[in-house]
Amino acid sequence: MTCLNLERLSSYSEGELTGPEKRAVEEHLASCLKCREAVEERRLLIQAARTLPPFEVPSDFAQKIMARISPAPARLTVLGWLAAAAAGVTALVATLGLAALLTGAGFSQLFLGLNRFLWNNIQNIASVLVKVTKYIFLVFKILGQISRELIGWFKVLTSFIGPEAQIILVCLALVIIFCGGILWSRKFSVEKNHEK
Amino acid sequence: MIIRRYQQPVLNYVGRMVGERELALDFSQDVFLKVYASLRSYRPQYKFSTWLFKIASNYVIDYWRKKKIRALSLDQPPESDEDCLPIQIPDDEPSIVRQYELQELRTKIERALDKLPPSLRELFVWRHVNGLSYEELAEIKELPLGTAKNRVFQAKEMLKKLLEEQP
Repeated sequence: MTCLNLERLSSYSEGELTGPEKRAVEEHLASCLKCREAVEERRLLIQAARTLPPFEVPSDFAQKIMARISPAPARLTVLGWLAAAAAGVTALVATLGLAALLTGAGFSQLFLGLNRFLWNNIQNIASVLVKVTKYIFLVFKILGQISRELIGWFKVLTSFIGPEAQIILVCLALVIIFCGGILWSRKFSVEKNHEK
Repeated sequence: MIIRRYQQPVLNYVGRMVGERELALDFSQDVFLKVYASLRSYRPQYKFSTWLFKIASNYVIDYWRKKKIRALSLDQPPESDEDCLPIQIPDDEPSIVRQYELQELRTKIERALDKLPPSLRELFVWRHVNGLSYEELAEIKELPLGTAKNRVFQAKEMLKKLLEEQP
């Protein structure tokens, strides 16, 4: 009796054959010990491979990947905010308590003193802010006057020159600015390279 | 969610391809990062697991290339006699595989897998360790279905031969 092709037996052992092909193999197996053994060996091999112990996945495997995907920004939760507020209040009370111990003054006195101190500071800061705003307005006023003067001079100058000459002058000025910009940027980059 | 669902098959595959557990863990993480980075290129008409496993497979192939491990080309037949499979009709000797209990056989398979050429090992692991269908396997490796089946058969027969050679 001629034994069956091994590839066919292998397909049969995996359950890949159907219909008449499967029946033909089964008929042959009924009368061929060698082929039955060959099928059995392959089934055992497949079964063993299918039940190989899986690689143990660490519990933090997914977390590590997620951490690499997007480093989680430090977010303050509601509980975190409450804890921070509680810590702040505790620190204030502890400081006042310590000051009361050291100065011998009453707790309410210290609290009033702290209030006064804060209020004075707020007043000082407010007056400084008003002054700074005034100076800023003054600077803008001066800049406005200077620009008006410049425009006046420009009008006087352009009244002596024809429109063609004005265009040429503007073009020349643009070219000079452009070239100057390029030269400056090159110098800057050369200096940077030297620094490296 | 995706990670938790596929971490085990990916690690099983990568682990059996590279051998070292720590390296396998690093590689598996890289595979998921690649999957995340390539999510835009995923087309829903394909099965997600197949697409993911293909990325894992390509990652391992890149590793072989970098390590210059000789891998059999799947498109060409093996060149040397060593790579050829002695496909014979079973002889009269008592079955060797049958001699081992399943547990012992598993240990021996793990050892024998290391000796299997990487390209055949890969196919065997996808099919018989991770339990993928031949259709999925063919898609992952971009092979005709018949070629994929034939290659798995070759891997299985070579593994059986390696098992028989073990003391």
